[in-house]
Amino acid sequence: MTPNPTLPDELRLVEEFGETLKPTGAHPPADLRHRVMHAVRHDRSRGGLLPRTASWPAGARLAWRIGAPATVAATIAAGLIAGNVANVAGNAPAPPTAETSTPAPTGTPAPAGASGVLLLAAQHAEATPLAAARDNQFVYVESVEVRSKTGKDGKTRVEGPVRVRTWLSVDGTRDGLVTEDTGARTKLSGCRNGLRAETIDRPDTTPKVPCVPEPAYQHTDVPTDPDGLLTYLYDPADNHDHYVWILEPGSRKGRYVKISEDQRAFMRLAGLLWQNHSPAVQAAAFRAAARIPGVELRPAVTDAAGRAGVAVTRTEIGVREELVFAPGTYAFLGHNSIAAEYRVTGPEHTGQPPGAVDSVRIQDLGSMKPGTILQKWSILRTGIVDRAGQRP
Amino acid sequence: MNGVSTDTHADTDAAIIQASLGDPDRFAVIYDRYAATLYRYAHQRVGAEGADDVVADAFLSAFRGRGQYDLSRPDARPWLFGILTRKLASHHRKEKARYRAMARAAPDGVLEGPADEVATRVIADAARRPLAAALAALSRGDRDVLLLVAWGQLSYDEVAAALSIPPGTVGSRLNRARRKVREALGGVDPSGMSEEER
Repeated sequence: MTPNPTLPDELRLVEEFGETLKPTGAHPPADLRHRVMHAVRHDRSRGGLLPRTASWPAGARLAWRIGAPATVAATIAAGLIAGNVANVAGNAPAPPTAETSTPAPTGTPAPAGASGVLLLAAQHAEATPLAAARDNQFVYVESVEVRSKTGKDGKTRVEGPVRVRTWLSVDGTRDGLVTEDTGARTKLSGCRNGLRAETIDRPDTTPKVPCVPEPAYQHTDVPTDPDGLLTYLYDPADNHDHYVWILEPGSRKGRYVKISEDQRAFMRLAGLLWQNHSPAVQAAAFRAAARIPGVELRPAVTDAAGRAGVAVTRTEIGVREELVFAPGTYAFLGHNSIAAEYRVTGPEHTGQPPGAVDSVRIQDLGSMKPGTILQKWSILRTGIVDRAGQRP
Repeated sequence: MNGVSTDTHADTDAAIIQASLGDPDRFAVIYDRYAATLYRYAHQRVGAEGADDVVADAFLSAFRGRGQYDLSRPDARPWLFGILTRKLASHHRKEKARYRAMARAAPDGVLEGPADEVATRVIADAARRPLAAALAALSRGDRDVLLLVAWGQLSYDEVAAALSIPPGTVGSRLNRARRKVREALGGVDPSGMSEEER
């Protein structure tokens, strides 16, 4: 045999030897993914970084992510009510804010302006007729989203508006759906027989984990009185401190800043307004919002669809959360997250925080421009339909 | 360089690892990106019996250690290979025994196929037993470097990052491993075929 002019050297031989040792299939064994993710899911008691209540994080993150891509909406739908119900049902000791029907004010009381807008919004919701919806139907939500993205170069760009259509299960047990005009489709795993898909990225192939259904047009588990709803937003079963992790571009180590209970309640309120469209729940939510210390009125804002509105806001750690209402009717339009002047009131930590981490941000503290849009979502119309994917 | 974003928007490994601090489910993305690669490598080194355990251990360790992930590295592959290598270390004896068994095994039977392909396979088969013996005889550190390059397809810099050793050390370990493999090939001429195979 003639010698091959491009003969393998010893490294190439080792490589070829390795070829013969590869597994036959391209994929690891099917149960390995479940094994890993199951372990990950049950590992939360070990690390201080990890939220200790199993179902809390999705709800807590909500306001940050609600205008974000479809997969994010899926997380929201998957986590919010389940977390709350599980926590309310638990026997964990209540924090001081839950001992009275009104949380102890930690800031200034809501000004009359914000209270007034919220009262009118509550009255508008109360006057909205209750649609006839069967348990096996879906709430169709047509919305517009604007999102900011930070690229690898560290530059932030605003994307959108993107048209998003979401189908939320009326009783929370059916599989919902999110579609975008970008072509993205995400299934929302319904909670059937107490189980839903473990992860949002592959709901069809991932194993199931325990859950509590999150209805979109019922209020069996969500209070409809302002006192009850306020307690619900402050989540008495959750006695952990919560933090946002902030990284300045170019630096390697981030730091943790504590989020106040009031800000978290306000953020959960925005999430609730996305998840549950029952008029009674929404009315109670607006009355409860008026009692969260530190809310302010902002007379002229624009929602994701470009509509002018009046906003009730709460600002913390460099972000202003805005609930936007139509001037005149005070119908709820949507939610904005806007960059604000960075001011820290809560404790900061480097290294591991002593509580749960709710959200992660890359934020240039030196040159961050107040007014930059982080994200916005606004609702164009809602309706009741028979199937996910069907338009009214 | 101004503004704010949730890094869940960015899809680098680093961004996803950070997002998984608040939302452990996000870690599934890291699994889906690298499970096949890591499993293949583990399978090559310890076989089907051990590969599952090693990969599962490695992912769980990665998950627990994600708070210490160096965010200046967008690509998590070297980091994951580093963790996997440490997990493989506890299978050190089994891995060596496996190579030794291969070194003793009889070569495969008759080869069929196009002449060039057969020639390549003849070379590989001729070298198979001495190669297995050589891998069994290498020190752990040398073997890790050699196999991360040859089987893991990592660059020198990535190997250095994975094992937390200087790039120069990667080079010297790799040179030593290659020399030992050459020596072990002994009668087998890596640039051709040994006498008995002709």
